[in-house]
Order: sequence, then structure tokens, then C-alpha cells
Amino acid sequence: YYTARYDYASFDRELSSKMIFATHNLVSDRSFNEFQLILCRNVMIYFDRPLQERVLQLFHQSLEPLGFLCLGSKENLRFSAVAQHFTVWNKEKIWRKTGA
Amino acid sequence: MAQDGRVKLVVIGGSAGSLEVLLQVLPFLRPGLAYALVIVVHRKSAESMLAELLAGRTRLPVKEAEDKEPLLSGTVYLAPADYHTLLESNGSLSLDCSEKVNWSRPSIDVTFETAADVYGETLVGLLLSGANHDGVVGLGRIAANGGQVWVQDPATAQVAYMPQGALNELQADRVLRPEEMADALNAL
Repeated sequence: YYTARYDYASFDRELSSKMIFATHNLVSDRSFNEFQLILCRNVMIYFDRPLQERVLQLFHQSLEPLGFLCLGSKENLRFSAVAQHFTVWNKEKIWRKTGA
Repeated sequence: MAQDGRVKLVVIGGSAGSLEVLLQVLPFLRPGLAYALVIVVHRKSAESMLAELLAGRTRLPVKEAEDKEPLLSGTVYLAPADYHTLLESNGSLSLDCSEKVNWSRPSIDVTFETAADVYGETLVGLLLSGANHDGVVGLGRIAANGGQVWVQDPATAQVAYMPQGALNELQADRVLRPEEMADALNAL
């Protein structure tokens, strides 16, 4: 899947050619897709609680049922209003959106 | 800042040799302390069972700090590995993942300085054994903002460099041997 040399790794072209890199503003933009997996690690720690809540709502809207949300090792969504829509997957701060 | 003058927060920092001190002091802390305790020790990686180890030695609740967690009195919070732990003006802790400070993350200075800015005179800072300078500047900020500065007696420290460094730069309110620390903390 990839080649690694020195301190770098490069994905195989077959895979990397299918990747889209785009800028999205968590503060102001709205959901633009439903994903199976969202990784957002160590970003939310820089947001205050109201903004964290907004971002978690955005992620909730952007995940398909049974999709996964991965946060940083010391972040959590336990205190958020979206928590009811997720179950803890394991202790690695991975949550799975419920199928309902 | 200090309406009634009582201590609201104690921050403890240490590096090499500080774990032994904590294990010696924790069992003697009385439950129901009127302040929260935040402990920052230099730690290697996220796999460590440090919180569990400390929790087993005390009746006080011990937990790793989580982002935006509100501080509760009588509770011990441990700075997690690979994050800086900061004190916020609304009485909560926040985490930060930026570059190391004094080659450390968590950095004692970061915790001490933010605590000093928020808690001023209601703060006590204690610096323990260690092999680097992290925490000395932070202790100075605690002093400058009217908090109390406590330092482990370098003669009792496994690595005297850190506490001695603090004493070289500032006037400590107390210089404590580990066996004196629990009484001092219980008396606050």
C-alpha cells in the first residue's frame, strides 16, 4: 500500500490518486457529505465548549449510521449533546454512530 | 483574586525521582481537601499506568486530566503524557498538543504559569526532584502572583538539580523533606 524510506512514507499511486485534499472550516462551514470514518485528533482541545459542541454536531451530521468518529487520546464527546447518538468502540477514543 | 485567602489549587511538578516522593506522600493525604491537586511529572509515553499506580496509594480520587474538565476539590489530576495541561479561568483544565517546552510535554512551566495567572494568591506550587530546569520559571511566576512556593529539600531529592535550581533563583516559602509534605498539604 505504501513505500517507506528514512522518515517518510508515500502511499501507492493507486490509492493516492483517489484522495481529495480540500480545506474545510470547522467553525463556519456546514456538512458536505456523509462519511464512514472521521478522524479529528487534537484539534478540539483548542476550542472552547460551545465550539466543541458545534463541531461535534457537524461530525454527527457528516457521518453515516454505524460510521466511526476518532478523537485524540485525551478528548471525548461524553459531555456533548451528540453523545446519545454514539457508542464507545474501545478505550482508544473511537466512537461508533448508532444505526438508528 | 483571593476573596477568603484559602488555597484553591496545589500544583506539583517533578521529573526524575519525583514518583518516589509522590508514592510516599499520597497515602497520607486526608480525604476532603478543600483544594484540587494537579500533578505534572515528566512521563515517557501514553502506555503508562501512572494514574492507576497513584490511585492505588490514596483514598483521594486520582484521574488523568481530560480536556475542559472542571476541577473538583479533594481530587488529584494527573497531566497526561504528551499533552501540556493548562489551568483555565473558569476553573477547568485544558489540554494542548503543541511543541515541547523545556524539552518536555507535559511541561511543568506551562501548568505552573497558567495556574499562577488564574489562581494568584490562592495557589501553592511544589517542585520536586528532577534533572532539568522545567518548573523553575513557573515557580517564579507563582511567587510573582502572590502564591506560595514550596520546594523539595534538594538534599532529599534523588536528583537535586531541579529543586536546587529553583532555590538558586527564588526564595521558597517552604523547603520540605518528603516526610513533611503530607502534613503541610493537609494543613492547607
